[in-house]
Amino acid sequence: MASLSLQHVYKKYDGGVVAVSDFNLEIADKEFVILVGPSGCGKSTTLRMIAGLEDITEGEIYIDNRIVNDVLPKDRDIAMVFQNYALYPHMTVFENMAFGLKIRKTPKDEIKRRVSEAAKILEIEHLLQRKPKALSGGQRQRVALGRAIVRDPKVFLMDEPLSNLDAKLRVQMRVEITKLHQRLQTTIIYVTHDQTEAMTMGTRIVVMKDGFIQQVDAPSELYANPVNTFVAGFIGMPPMNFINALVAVEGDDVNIVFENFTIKLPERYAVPEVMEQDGKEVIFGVRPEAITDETTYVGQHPESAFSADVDVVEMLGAETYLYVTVNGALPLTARVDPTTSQSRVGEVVDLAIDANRVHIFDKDTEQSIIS
Amino acid sequence: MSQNNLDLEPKTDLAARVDSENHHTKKRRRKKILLGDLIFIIVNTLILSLMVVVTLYPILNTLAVSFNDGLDALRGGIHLIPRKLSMKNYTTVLGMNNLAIGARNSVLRTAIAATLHLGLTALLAYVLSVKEFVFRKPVSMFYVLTMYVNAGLIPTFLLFKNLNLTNSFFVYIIPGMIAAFNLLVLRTYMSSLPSSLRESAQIDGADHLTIFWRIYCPICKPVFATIALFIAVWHWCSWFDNMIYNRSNSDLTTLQYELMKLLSSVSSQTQSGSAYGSGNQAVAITPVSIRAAATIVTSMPIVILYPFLQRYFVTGLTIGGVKE
Repeated sequence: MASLSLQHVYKKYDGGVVAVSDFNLEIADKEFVILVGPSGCGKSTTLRMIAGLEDITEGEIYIDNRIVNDVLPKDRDIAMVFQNYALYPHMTVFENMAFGLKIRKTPKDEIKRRVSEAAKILEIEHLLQRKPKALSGGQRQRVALGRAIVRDPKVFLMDEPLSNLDAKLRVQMRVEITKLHQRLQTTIIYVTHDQTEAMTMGTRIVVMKDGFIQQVDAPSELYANPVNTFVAGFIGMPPMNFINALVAVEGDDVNIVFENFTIKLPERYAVPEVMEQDGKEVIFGVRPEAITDETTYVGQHPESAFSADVDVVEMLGAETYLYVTVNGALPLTARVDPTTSQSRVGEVVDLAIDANRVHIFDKDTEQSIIS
Repeated sequence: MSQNNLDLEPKTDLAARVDSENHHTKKRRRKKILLGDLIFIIVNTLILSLMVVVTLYPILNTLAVSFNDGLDALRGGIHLIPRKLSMKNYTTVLGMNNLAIGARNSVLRTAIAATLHLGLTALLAYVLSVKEFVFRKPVSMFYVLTMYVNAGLIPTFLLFKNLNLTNSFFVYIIPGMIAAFNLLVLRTYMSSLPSSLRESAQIDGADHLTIFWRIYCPICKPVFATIALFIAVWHWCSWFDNMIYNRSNSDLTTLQYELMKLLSSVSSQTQSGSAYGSGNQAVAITPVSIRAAATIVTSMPIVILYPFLQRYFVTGLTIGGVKE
């Protein structure tokens, strides 16, 4: 197992396209780091640069304190799981898993032992003599994982390994990969565009956009304290509500004004960074779960209450999403408790914001002022 | 219990009615589908039968003519069955001088050239299919150019002569070692394979030669079989290079060249009025019958070879390996 270090890494393609810009990241041994972001943000390119499948234009990559910029993929002691499995179709599952070991001239007994061990972990022992075409999507992905496990590499690289699976299987495999990480105690770098995968699996998440790192943090921290509107909007489902609002300071009180409603913020928001925004427009961020239609709460918090028209009610069983419009102009999403919610489509409903859980972003830079 | 029965009866009636309606609907739908299918099957069978006739008739007709008496064949009217059975065409073809040497050389050039041509073209195609190879475009262009630009017979002859390829078995093998068309076919096929297969093998520790041999070759079997058949047929049927470059050396003669000589000899003697051969044979051999026998003799090895290669003509060898 190993640590990894990426220092000022750039990837520029012919024609001036910059896929990755000034990427700096230190990954500790046994960490499960997720690279997440929308399509084209450079996450897969970064992973491929670590794997040695893409050349680095500038910067250095270290695996276990050894610079690997010019080291061939086979000599980096890494294993990679591809999005499309990349199994060798003419080989059996056993041969697929043993291929890397055979190439490295591992003794036959050792190959057999390692393949059996990995197959046991992944519960694919009964599939060892089958060819990939005789396997289901989930089984193929397990074989791809198995092929990586038998190599016992320093670093596991996974490029959207679950994106080709159906929703149910994805959840199942998500749990299994997390368990695998706990069991193998190895360094994993995992690329995904699915923020749910990122939040549930990673010990640390790297959010990327247009080739730049936006934020690197633990999932909970990323969710609670996003550094900008991109991270705030990308992490969390449904995404955070963004409201163009005005800051109005009255003495020691900080108020947020939008669509004829004034929300009074708690004392902790009365900090210089916010106070100096007095009279300025900001982006007011509220997560759907920070908006409630619970009558008691709304009654007890008139300072953060407002009313809205209910457009759509999405009942998901454990939670209900309300899609509402404030003053016919401002769309908001609220996640409410289905057992207490009385809201119906077409009705005007009273809502209240949990003012302790709001975010304020700078209107111009979109950077967080306070979370 | 009785209450249950009372409850159940109306449900059973309803269920039966629904079942019956479903049954009729299904039957009507099945009938409709069957009619559509039937029309398709009839039209399909007719078209395919026509294609079988168009393909098979010339072969059977040639076979019939080859077993027919030569003079009788000149009268025409032979379709599928010989009118006057005779083995003389075959005894003439199989009894010609240099048959064994020609057959040996033809088999050798076909086997060696097909193997080398396929191996080398595939290796080059692999290199040209790897995106990281910086010169792949100019090199591809260089080969494609040879499809359109040809030096002509005399410069080619002089070149081969200067390279000491004339009067040599190597003239059958070396000049045609890589064909641009086959190269393009193989390169296109290899380029269509997911790059993740190669990358995965690279990470597993394989070098390019291992990737080519252990990953690409097994996956490319169908296209290899097709190209191998193209090359084998081309070499088996070649006689022109023998005539131009190795005419003077009877040890280097090929079967096709010998048959061509036989056919020319029969044609010229028939046209000049003198009978080919001697005795009874003189009247039994004509260009029509000898051509038919020669065609059958030369096609047989390829016809025999085809079933062995046919098992490789399968598609979808990458199924399961990668998610499309």
